[in-house]
Amino acid sequence: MITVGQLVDFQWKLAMAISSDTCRSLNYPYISMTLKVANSSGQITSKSFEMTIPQFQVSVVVWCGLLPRTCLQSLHV
Amino acid sequence: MTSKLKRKANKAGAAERSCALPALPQTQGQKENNLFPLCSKASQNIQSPQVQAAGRAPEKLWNRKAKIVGEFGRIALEFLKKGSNSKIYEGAARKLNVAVDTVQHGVEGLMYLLSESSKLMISEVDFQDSVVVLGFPEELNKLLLQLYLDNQKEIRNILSELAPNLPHYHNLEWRLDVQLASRALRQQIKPTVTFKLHLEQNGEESAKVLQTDPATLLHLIQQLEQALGEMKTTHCRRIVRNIK
Repeated sequence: MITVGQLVDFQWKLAMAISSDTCRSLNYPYISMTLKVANSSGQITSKSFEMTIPQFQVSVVVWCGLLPRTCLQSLHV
Repeated sequence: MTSKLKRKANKAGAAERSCALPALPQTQGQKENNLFPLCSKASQNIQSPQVQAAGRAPEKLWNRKAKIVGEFGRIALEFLKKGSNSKIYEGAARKLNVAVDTVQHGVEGLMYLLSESSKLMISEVDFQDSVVVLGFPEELNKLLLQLYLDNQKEIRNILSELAPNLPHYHNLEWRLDVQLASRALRQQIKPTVTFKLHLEQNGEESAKVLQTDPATLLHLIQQLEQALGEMKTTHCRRIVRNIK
């Protein structure tokens, strides 16, 4: 049996990357997410990742695939 | 023949003692303290059965010996640089008509002699005095001294790489972001700096992602500049002057 961790917390933030050492004028919006997962022994690990706006919209649709349509409308980004 | 085997037997003793020997500290004006601690074991090995069985050396082997010592020196240096290779021991043993063990001990003894003397950076006079104790002919002592002087710097460079190694800086990438909204608070302006610090240790690369706000970054820069500024204090300057 594969044990799957349980999602404990889910945080997101919207930010804009303005410049970096390789590109002085990026102007690139992205979503950064932090998931906190508890494994079977209760230990909490947190994983952070970033994605572009279209990727985020797709992931929202995928996750909320089972919810009724009315709930989806209230989740505007 | 006697001298050659005697040399090999002595070096065997030196190699066997290599793990137990402490490095003697150098004190100025006290030559005895700087001598290589090879004496007691060396005299024991002069009585070894190999030496007693050898007999008298014919005079014409003398010329061959200088070349052999040179060859052994070259092999010892190769092994110090790249690690030992047992095939070379077998080839040399066959050419000289002696046991492989003798050749191995000889080369290891020579390696130990060179690495210890380079490590302690002993002067010519001290090196000569240390080698004279072993009772080799004068030509051999001069050859060993030449070998030591020629390769001292290179051996020191190799030995310096044996020090313990922590991960060190390889590359730093940075990015300036502005946080516009989060789950808890909408419509905000919060600048942050994100770093990816690439580190390297023993050939392995690792990367760490770090994030900070500009105020902390300025504080970090201030602390690092303060650390660099320590080099300019009188205390540090005195030490650096003495090292140079």
